[in-house]
Amino acid sequence: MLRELFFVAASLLAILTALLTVTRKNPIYATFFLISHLISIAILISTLKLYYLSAIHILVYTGAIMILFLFVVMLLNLKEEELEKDFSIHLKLLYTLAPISVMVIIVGQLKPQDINLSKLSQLNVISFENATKALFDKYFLAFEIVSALIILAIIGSILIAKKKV
Amino acid sequence: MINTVYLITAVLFSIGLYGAISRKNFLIILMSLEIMFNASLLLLLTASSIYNNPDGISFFFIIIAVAACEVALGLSIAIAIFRKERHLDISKIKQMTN
Repeated sequence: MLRELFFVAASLLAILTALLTVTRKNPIYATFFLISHLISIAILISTLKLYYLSAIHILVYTGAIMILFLFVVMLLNLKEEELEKDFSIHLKLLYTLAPISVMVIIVGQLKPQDINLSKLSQLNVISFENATKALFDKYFLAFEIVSALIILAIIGSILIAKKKV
Repeated sequence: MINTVYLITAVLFSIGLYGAISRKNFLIILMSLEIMFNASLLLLLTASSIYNNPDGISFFFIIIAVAACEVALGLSIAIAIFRKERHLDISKIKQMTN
């Protein structure tokens, strides 16, 4: 019961903070709302009985990625953007119609079949040992490629942000 | 209750899509991409725990590393654009380098 309550509260909070993130003028406020959005996503992950992943999500996303965002926003010292004054009514209609149609397509495609459980408390706890074994066994190539990707991203971001090439 | 996760991820994905196509600030577009990324991540973890399959958890680590790379590159591109143009309005940017 408590799990369902947390689930509903966290999902409503996630939707509200996502809406507030994409509509703020000032990027600093948008960053703070995105941080609360990511925390509510972590709460949603923990209601699925994936507690370790929710902790990792808070550590990596909120602790590392969003602090990097906040650092860059404060470093650049931006002015408030003029919020879409010159957009015509047709463009505004298009900008709201396109995501709604994508949402309808996704909801239409994702019909959960052969699910015979309806409550969150009926979910099984997935063994973390099997998951990490698969990471180093079945998906070892993907793991190695990701480590190469991180090195390349470090080199690339230094090269792009450097003053003179 | 579990079926509503599908609806929530679809709503979050479309909110992120709305932000990505309607805003002009480069940083807010990057944040909208993060919202879309997190919606698909939540969908992956939900499907993984519904079908009792540990592969979703394995992919969680790979996906989170790719997201970190994406953010690092995007923010350095933002710094490069700001150094040249002194703003981040993508409708006024013509080129990134000389």
